[in-house]
Amino acid sequence: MSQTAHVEASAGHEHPKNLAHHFDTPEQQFDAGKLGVWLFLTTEVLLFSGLFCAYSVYRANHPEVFEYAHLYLNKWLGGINTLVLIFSSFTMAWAVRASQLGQRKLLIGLLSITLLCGFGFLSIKYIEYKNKWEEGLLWGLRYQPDKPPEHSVIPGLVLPEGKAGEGAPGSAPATAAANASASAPASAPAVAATGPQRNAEGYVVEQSQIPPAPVGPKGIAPNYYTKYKGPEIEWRGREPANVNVFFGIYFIMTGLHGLHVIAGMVLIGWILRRSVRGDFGPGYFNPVDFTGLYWHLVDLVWIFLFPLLYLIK
Amino acid sequence: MTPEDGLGKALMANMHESTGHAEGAAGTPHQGVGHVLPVKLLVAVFGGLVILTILTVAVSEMNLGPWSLYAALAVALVKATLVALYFMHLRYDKPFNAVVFLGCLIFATLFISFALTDSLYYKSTKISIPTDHMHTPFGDTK
Repeated sequence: MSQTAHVEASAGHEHPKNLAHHFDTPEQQFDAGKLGVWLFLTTEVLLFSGLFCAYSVYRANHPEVFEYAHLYLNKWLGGINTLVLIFSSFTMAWAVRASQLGQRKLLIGLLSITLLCGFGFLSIKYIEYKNKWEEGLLWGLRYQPDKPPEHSVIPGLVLPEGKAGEGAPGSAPATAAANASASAPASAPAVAATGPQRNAEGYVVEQSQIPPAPVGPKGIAPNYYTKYKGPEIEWRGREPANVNVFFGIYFIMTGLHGLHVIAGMVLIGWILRRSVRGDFGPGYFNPVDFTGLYWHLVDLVWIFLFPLLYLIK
Repeated sequence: MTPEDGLGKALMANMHESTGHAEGAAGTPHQGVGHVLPVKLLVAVFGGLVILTILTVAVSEMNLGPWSLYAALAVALVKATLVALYFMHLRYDKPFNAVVFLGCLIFATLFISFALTDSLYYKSTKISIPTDHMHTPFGDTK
């Protein structure tokens, strides 16, 4: 490129410093780059749309899980994070303007504020994640909270001393089955000690060597919590089934979004360094504009995530 | 690679000129590469986004039943449109960028709605676990 520039210069033409040799004009270079960024953003939208699809399908089929589990989230922290991100989008859009007009100091200031907002967003996210971790509000079998969410209504349950719902044990076939599955592993060694079990005709009854799984149709076996955690968390048997899926969706969606925030901050750090160096001006501000587009897309995704995860009902 | 054409020359001349008094030209959109948004408009869009955020939290406090989801999505859609049109310059951009982005959104909508339609079609056949009839160690709740 430098050679080309030299040739152009020797031929008596001015060649802008930042114009790549395969473009005719800065405008062509800008438009081509911008189209490329927009195409990249569409792939990002489609990436997130897969997760939004999982969210929609699960929420449409199990609305009770979302109405219950979202009460565990702190909508004020989520709301503050929304404002932080919107403010950072505003400063980023202003930074693009500053770079277009060659206002170097303003550009450096605005990019720094944007970067600080990114750190602020991640800090609040860290507080949220830490709380979820400590309260056992994680995905899959790691969903083991110690208390129901505030303002939640679990039918038939009075906490803490009431044992509402006490019925005759073993009255339902399902309870009997659950008891049987719980006692099966204990009786298995006894069977092995007395030799093969025979039926009335004397034939050996084949028995599976695999003990029954401690997982029932609604997830973990009903007596799991009282057996291992004590009767004080009896409410776990009454909350909607599979609340853990909400936290799976919550962590994968906000986690992927958080990774995008980190990537955006790396990009902003890079253009901040270049703007300190004085690279940008009216003729060349493409990296600022393109990083801005990416940052706004991250904001766009959060604009939908916030009401869908924090503000249900 | 032929900057001899008139447009390129005029553009570059304009560019070098505006570099000279960039600070002085603040506030007046210049005719360089891209479109410069006035600060007033940026502030207005930011204010609108803040108001809409407060609105969506307020709406969630109200008891709108099934409409709360649609209300929240409508507010989010307005916010997203504001961000895309002004912060992302889509309104002043080459229209083709808007076509690319809208096309992508249409396909994302198709993707989600087909998956949702299919899932809801089979909803009646799913194994449902009634929440008011749970098995507990002390017997059933019903």
